[in-house]
Amino acid sequence: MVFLFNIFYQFGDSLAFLLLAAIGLAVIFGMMKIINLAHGEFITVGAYGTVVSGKVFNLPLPIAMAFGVIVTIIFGLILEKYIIRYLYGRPLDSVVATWGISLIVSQSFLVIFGPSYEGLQTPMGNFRLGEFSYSEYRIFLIFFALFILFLLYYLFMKTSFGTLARATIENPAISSSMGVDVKNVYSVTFAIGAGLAGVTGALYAPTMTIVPSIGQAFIVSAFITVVTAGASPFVGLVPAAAFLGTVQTSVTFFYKSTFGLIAILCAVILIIRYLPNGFSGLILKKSK
Amino acid sequence: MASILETRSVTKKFGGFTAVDNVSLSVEPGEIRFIIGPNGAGKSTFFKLVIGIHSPNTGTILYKGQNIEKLKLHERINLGMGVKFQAPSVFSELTVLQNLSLANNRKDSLKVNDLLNDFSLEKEKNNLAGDLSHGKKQWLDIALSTISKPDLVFLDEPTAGLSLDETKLTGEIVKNLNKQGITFVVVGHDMDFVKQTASKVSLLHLGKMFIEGSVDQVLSDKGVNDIYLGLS
Repeated sequence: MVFLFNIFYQFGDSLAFLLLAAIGLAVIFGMMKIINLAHGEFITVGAYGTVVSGKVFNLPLPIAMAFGVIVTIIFGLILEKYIIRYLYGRPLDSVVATWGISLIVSQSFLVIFGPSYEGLQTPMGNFRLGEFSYSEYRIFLIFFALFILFLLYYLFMKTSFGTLARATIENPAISSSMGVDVKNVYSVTFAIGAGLAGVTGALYAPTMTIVPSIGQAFIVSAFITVVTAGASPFVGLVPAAAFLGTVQTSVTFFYKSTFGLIAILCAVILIIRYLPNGFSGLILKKSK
Repeated sequence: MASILETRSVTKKFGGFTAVDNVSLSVEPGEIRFIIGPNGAGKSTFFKLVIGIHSPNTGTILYKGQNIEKLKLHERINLGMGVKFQAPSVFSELTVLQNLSLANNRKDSLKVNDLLNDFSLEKEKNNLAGDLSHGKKQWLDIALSTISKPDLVFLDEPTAGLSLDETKLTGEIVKNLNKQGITFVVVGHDMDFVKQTASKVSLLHLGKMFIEGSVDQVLSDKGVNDIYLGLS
């Protein structure tokens, strides 16, 4: 029983991390096709927004988290208006620009806040099962990750705004000919992606050491999960994260975490080789 | 009657090439106006000028008396215009119904079921638009441009790639929508479609307005025959 729960806990922790790392990027890269190398810095902004507001204004954690998310949305909107807007349809240029943004942001945090910032205490508490101790907050993150993914799926697949956003990104010219202000739709969609990255930063802020490179811990996981999810990220994200989480947990359980990371990268290479449209391609093909 | 669309001495140059040269045109409400001309006449450029994809170098474009040169495409659409581009422009990853519901942004819109029936799309309403035949994509595209019941609709080559029967049905649909109060400006050179549908024709040649009038007046003009035969 304890053994099984331990496996579930490790798997769930890995699943939540992969999902939360990927949700913002699923919108900005998966939907909008912007190769956003500054995704990690969006997470960093969310984390710092949460921790700094929590410390400086002594805000309760949920309010501090909301503050961190709002700051990230504003940061995303400003970037979109002045830089990203000119890079739609220019994926290679977006790589260079977002890489530059990533460097500027992380170095700015280093200059302003120093090499590390005092973190917040992890909320909730721990419970014991057998000889192991487990964080209740980590369990909460598993369910919250699934809940927020469900919200994201509902927003983009079931609401009229989601249909409009997907349609506009598929063909801006047709949307414009229907009277849609394409720039606004792109801005709002990008802000949602940025806000989701901010949610990730806010949620993990109490669990990690707050350093300017905190977002770098997420960026590789984010990209491999979105790429493995495939062309329709909201359909493929859960199976992709579940598969990668299983691989990582299994290998880490029997060997070391380093081998878990190597295994996950090998798994992604195999997925790209044999499922070029990712998990969503497989699911949508079977549902036809 | 006041014009619904008016262009005054509109000129568009690309470098040293004048694609549209001092073109003035006035379309009255209720017309089905065709802009015709051989390849290179400037029809497509003129189309792009009036819908806002290009800006004129000189001249004025008025919609219901309002100057619209500075307005973007979506702003012109929101004034009460509709546009159908030459290539069928539908959201291929959405169903026919989802396409129509996205374009349906006015309270007094045409009824979706009526449009589905008129355009023979009833059976395919839940299919992805990308899976439709070319002809049905063209019809869906016309339906998208007219569902909001705009006052003025621009159609660019609406019968391109259609069979004779499909072309004839398209003409009937356009005339039916015209009876419901929609004014059309159609760019094309399918003469059967022009004869079936047009209430007035304007012919562009080398970027200039060559002749305007009824279908019979324009097509019986010797200069027009020379243009189409490449003699002028």
